[in-house]
Amino acid sequence: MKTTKKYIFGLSYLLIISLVFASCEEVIDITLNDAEPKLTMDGVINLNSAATVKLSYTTSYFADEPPIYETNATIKITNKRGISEILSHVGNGYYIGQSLLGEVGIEYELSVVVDGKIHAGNSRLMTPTQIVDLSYTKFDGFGSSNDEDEYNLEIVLKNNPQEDNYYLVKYYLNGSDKEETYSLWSHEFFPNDELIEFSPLRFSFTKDDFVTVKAYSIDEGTYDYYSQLDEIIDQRGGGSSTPFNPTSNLGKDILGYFRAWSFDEKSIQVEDN
Amino acid sequence: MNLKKYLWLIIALYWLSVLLVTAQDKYTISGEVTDAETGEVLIGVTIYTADKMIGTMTNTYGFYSLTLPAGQQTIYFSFVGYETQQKQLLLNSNQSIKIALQTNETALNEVVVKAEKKDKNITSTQMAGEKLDMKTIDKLPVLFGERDVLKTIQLLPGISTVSEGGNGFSVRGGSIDQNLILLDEAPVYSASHLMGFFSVFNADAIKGMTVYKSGIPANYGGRAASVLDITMKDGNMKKLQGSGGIGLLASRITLEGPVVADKMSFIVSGRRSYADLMAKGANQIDGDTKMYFYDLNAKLNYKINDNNRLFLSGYFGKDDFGFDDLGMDWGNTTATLRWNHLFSAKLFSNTTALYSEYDYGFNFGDNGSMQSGIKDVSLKQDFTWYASPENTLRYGLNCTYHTFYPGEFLFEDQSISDIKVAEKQAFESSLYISNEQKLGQQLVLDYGLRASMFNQVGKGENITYDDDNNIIDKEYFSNGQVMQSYYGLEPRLGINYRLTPQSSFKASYNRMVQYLHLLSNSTSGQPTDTWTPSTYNIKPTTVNQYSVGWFRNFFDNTFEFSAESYYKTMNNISDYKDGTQVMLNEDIESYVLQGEGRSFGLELYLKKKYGNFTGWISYTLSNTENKIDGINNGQWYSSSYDKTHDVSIVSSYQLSTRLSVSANWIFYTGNAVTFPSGKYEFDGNQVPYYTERNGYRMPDYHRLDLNIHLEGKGKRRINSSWDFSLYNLYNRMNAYTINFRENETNPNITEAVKLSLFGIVPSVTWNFKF
Repeated sequence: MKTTKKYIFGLSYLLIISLVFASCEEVIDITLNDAEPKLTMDGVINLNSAATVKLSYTTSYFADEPPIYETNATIKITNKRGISEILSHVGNGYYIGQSLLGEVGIEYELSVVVDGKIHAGNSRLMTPTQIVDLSYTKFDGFGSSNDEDEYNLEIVLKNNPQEDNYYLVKYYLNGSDKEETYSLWSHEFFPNDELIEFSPLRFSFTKDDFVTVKAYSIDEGTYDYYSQLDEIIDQRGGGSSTPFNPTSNLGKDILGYFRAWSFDEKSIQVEDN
Repeated sequence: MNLKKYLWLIIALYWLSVLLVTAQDKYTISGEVTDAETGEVLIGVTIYTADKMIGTMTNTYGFYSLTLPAGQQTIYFSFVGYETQQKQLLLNSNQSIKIALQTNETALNEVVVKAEKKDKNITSTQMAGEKLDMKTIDKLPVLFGERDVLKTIQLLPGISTVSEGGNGFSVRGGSIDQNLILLDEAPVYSASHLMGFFSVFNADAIKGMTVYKSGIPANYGGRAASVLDITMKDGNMKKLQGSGGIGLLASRITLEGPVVADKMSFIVSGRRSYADLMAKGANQIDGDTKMYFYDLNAKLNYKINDNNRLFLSGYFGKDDFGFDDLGMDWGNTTATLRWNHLFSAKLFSNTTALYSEYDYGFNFGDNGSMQSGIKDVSLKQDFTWYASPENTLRYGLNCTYHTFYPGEFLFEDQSISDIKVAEKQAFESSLYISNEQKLGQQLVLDYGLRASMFNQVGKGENITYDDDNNIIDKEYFSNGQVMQSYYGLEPRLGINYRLTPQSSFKASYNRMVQYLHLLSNSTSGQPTDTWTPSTYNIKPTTVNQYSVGWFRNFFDNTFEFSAESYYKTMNNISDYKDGTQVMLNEDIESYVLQGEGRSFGLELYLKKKYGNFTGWISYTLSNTENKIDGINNGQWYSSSYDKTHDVSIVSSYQLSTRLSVSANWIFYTGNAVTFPSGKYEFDGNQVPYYTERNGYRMPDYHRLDLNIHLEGKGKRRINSSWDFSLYNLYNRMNAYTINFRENETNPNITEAVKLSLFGIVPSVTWNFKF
């Protein structure tokens, strides 16, 4: 599925709505049903690292206590050469591998067995990228003119013209370990050159911010999953399109995703002049 | 298949046209009814004999034809807001009688009021066809000083607002693309400006409209739920006249008058909003921001002679939004050329050529641009044959060529290939015949049949997909080759049984087939939604509707009451697989899921028509559900258009000749929506977990609007008036959306956030007329 050319369409109708009218947001109390807990998985194999997988169950939406973890699963990771490893549980639903490390150009299969039921799926580790250059420009689009100056990033990434590459770029502020937001870039948006450059409009910052960028090289399935996830977690004030659960690569009876990836990281701060 | 049936129909129509036999002792009077001051033809004027035994109404072109026994006759011509005119004549030959009615602005002459035939609602076969002329709409509260026909019909029972800030309306559980909106017979594909705040119909250029939600006459087709037929003014035949208004958000001006007195007239009406200029003034936005709409209506009306009349009308409108070199715009263009011809006093013909286009575009500055839209070219022939006082036959045919251009993205950078979703073309045609038949004094039947045919034609490809949206097979078709055909037979039936002089029982059935679909992943409708034809993968939607109603007038017809109930079944209504990206999706057809729907409802309506205090209360109780394989585990679920309760109270009080106050209150049950029933963590994000489709409700919506209308003093060279209005008087923060997300400061906490668009909005408009 060509999930999305939507990242080009940053300028959406709903964005205009919230811009044009002095719309107003308010946190409200609402009663929601509690669904039957469903198995969820967050699995990753990073370049030169062993796989880590977290298994837990969904909780009620407004719950602030930790979820119930699945601690009795059998999780196996296998690479395309047929070498596999069983992950071991280290507590709180975390399972980690030791010997099988992420390698470029290799596809990995993850299988999770819980209560006799098998959930399995694949992801491929693509050529790593590199943040060749990271700079910023002053943002002069819409927005209140009274506020502090805002800045946008300009990013240059290394790209492998021999491959159909996809990138997930996360933006962090002031050393936080949770990203502010992320954006996705497909090879379709660029000439297939050695270097690609772009300026993400959805992330802006001010003079005092310390900005860190992580650029992940991902495969098409991961790109699609994060695109769907973005629609669900970042509704940005609008859209009455029907929400849904992003589709897992491990089948219908599980939520979450298993991906193989690598990343590069760089930081920047606005200089005084 | 049906070619034979079509042939039979054509033969039957021909036979009917030829067979113009007049009964010997009867004669026909015919002609047009106009407004005495402006020469504008009047639609829906009732014409009846002194004993009220025989009667008719003027059609959309102001024409009537009535066959009466020879001898002395007294005929009445009556229309709301006008003095009833009485005509004595000795009938011994067919006569052409033109009538010009005087307006009755103050409406205080009791004698005249008594003579009016005010029980039209009881006598008309049209069950749910509500006629509204601009005089009625004038009296309602206005939002931002703009009277609006689309806003007004949403106050009627069975017609509901889909969402504040949205584009469309829903009729009896139908989706927004199931409404056929006609402006001088040309379909309008997207009827709103500025987030639905304004409709594209500039009230100054509109003469009136009729909305049908059941018992839809056979001459209308192509949409499943309703017809909104809007007529533009023809222009003043007598003298040059201007009117306009200056408001906070938009201004408008209209000029109309004769080109040749009593022969040819024109009207030109323009409107432009300037929200961006206001915002710039208030320093809310930067200098390069664009945000406005404009529209232009124009019409030329030429009375060649008593038997021939030509109309040329057009509409052009555009919304433009953006900043710097990024932006989007959208708009409609329509053009109508009509020729009214009288073959005889009993056979009226209307020939129409139409053009309609809707498009939208994005501009991404250095990156590229995008275009998408739909274009129609259409030819139409309608006949009305006033065969006898008991039988009025309507028949005709219609051919439309649709071109769909779903979208293409042109990149500035030549090294990236453009994205283009293939154009589609389709040919839609139909034949219809219906008869309005009076059986005795109590029973009126209106029965008819519409036969429709839809062909998607090349060039193009019929693509077969598997369940995972992968292409399995492709079949290529060259230019003009038929790719896919669909047929529909659409019977229509209306029954009106007059129980007493003050009450009647009405029943109707209609079957509608809809071949066009609006691809939209949201319920409210956005300018970026794309129209698509029925294709190899997408089947036409069909709707069967049964409706019954009881109509009763009280207190000398001062009060009208109606109770109507309907049941509707819908086939091949569309929804999408989860997470479908609609825009620029080449394989969108593989993401469309089709299934069935059902809707039933009860509609109560009480209206006070006369006196200083006028208005209505409308209440709708309804239920609409869908069942589509692949959604909600194939179980029935509430449609996004389901509104259990929907109430409108509309009132207007004339305090003095200069001052009137009006108010309306609106209440409806919140839309059925999908909220999460759990959450989980993925890659540091709290992700909502969704289970059943549309299992929750938005909070109930309600709002009060107030308008004060002040007329200027007496007759001057320029008559002026003021409108002061307050939208959402008690500042209710109605929910536009409810989003579920992490708390900004503590991402471990998840919360529900309500977004409201409008609190209280005051506005003032100065209107003028010269």
